[in-house]
Amino acid sequence: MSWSRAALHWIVAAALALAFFASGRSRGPEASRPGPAATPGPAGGARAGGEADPGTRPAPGADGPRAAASPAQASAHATAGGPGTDELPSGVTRIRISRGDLAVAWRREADATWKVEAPAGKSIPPGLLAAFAEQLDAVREGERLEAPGPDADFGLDRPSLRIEWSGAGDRRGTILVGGRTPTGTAWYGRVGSDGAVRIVGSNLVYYADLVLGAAR
Amino acid sequence: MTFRGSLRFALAAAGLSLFASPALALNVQAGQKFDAANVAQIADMISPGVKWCVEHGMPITVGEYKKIELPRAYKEATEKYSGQVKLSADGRIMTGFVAGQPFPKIDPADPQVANKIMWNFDRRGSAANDDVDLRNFDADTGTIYTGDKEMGVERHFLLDHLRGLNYDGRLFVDPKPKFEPNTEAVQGKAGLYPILEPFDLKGVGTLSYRYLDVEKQDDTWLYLPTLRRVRRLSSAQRSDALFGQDADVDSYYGYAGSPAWFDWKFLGEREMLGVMHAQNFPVKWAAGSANFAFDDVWEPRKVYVIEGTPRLAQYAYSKRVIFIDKETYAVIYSDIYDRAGNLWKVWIDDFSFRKQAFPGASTTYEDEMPFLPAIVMVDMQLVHATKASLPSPRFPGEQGWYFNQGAKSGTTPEWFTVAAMIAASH
Repeated sequence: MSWSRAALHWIVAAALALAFFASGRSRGPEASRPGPAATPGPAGGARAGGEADPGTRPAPGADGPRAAASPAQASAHATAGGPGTDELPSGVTRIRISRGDLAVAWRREADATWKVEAPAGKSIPPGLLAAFAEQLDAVREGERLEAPGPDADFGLDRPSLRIEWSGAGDRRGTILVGGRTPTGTAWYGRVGSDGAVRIVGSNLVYYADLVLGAAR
Repeated sequence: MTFRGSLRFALAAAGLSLFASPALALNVQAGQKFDAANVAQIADMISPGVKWCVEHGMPITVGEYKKIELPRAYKEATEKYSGQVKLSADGRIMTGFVAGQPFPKIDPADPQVANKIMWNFDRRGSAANDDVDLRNFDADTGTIYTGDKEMGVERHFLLDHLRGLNYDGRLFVDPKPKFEPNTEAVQGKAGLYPILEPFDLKGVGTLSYRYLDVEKQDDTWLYLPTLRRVRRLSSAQRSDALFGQDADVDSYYGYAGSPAWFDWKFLGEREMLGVMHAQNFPVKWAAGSANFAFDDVWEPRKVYVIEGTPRLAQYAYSKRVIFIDKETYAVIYSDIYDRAGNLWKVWIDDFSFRKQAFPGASTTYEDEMPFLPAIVMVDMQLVHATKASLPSPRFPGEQGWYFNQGAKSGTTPEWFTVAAMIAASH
């Protein structure tokens, strides 16, 4: 190989390496779709219809999954880049949901059934617990709104529901549900400390209503 | 009962109650009215889909609960045959069924409780009719508006017949309990034809066979006179809404598919509001923008809440959440969700269990029959609705529903053929 041919190879290799690193930087940590054109309703209006306890911040409990017990902790995990934070739900084995002072936690047993951990002694139909857990997967299907605006526009300043989950491999996360979308077919939510707002299906929120209602 | 017996009974009852969601103490009274302004007060007593409708104007007037007695023949058949009915391990195949309710003992702690409820629904006493003929009914489909602006009717449909013929579980019309010969081994046949209006759909019809073998999918045919073609629909296509309206064949009555096509989960037992004794016959539609919905009396009912996830690939919906009346196994309403879990559609039944369509009607039944003067299906994502008047008020004196009339109402095997469907289109 001549000296000039070798130099040409080096130049091509350098160009390819540059292109590779450039594409790597432009790729975000999570593939995201552009948000829909939908705009939130007036502040507070999204919670019309008397969704329970929108004004009460859920109290963290000791019986939930090993996930962050508060939004601040969740944020700290994210900042620290802790393992498994800000994850979309997947392979979930423990769940804790709370609204106001009411919280329910349950876990997946070895035989794939779900068992209530708290409140102690409460029995909730296992099919409902399983249905909620399966519906958590659908959160990843929800639209993602980038830089959407103030939390209050989405009811996320005073979440109406808090969902904490953990799964195999130290995966864990928190989903906050704010107000209902103007169409009334879904809710606004936030996954982990991600600044984006996600559309969370009504199905998940309804199942949370049923679980919390059964634990009352 | 001895003390030990009483104790055992009490413990068993307590054990069972552990698995049942606590029944809501309905804090509503007969005569109370609910609309968008105060629907929050009854949010726990209706489904999210029904709540959406009330927020868009659907009125709810609360009435007294009234017990519904199932037909005597159905109850007797339940006692006689239910003991021999078995369910496969996956809950999809029922064997030993002859007639009556397959599983009269429902235990929420039973791992197969959801499947048993769905099989009871499939062979429900409130529709354990050997045959049914619905005549002269119409439907409007269009956009839901706000304020005083009524639903913008985009299409008006007028239909001649919706007929069904059961081949097993028969109790009222000979032959009983099976319709013989049954060379096609069907559980039942249903037909919806001909469409009389609109003019561009005149003569269109559908026909469907459901087989006793649950592994065999339905045969469903759609006849399109303009093309002079009979199209065959797959079972998954039964979830498609055709001709610009919102209802799909599988949503009829709240759910019209086979129990074997879905995976079912028991979500609990609740006390909810549903229309089981509609006072208006024919239907009374609400006023203004709420005229996509009927205006009638809703009563507290104990219901099973069941989630269905389709096993069929390409099924349009990700889930159905079905609210089944515990006494009659009729669906009071059914919420439907898309893949992301967003509320998509709701089907609401406007039942009126009664012995006569109206005072002075020519047909009187021994038992209360499931007259259904109206249904509504709303697509919440499109803010679009389809409402059906069963029968149409355009035909004064029409009873609409004819149950167990057999050949007297023309509900014979000959009607349930593709040839008859094509002939009726002319």
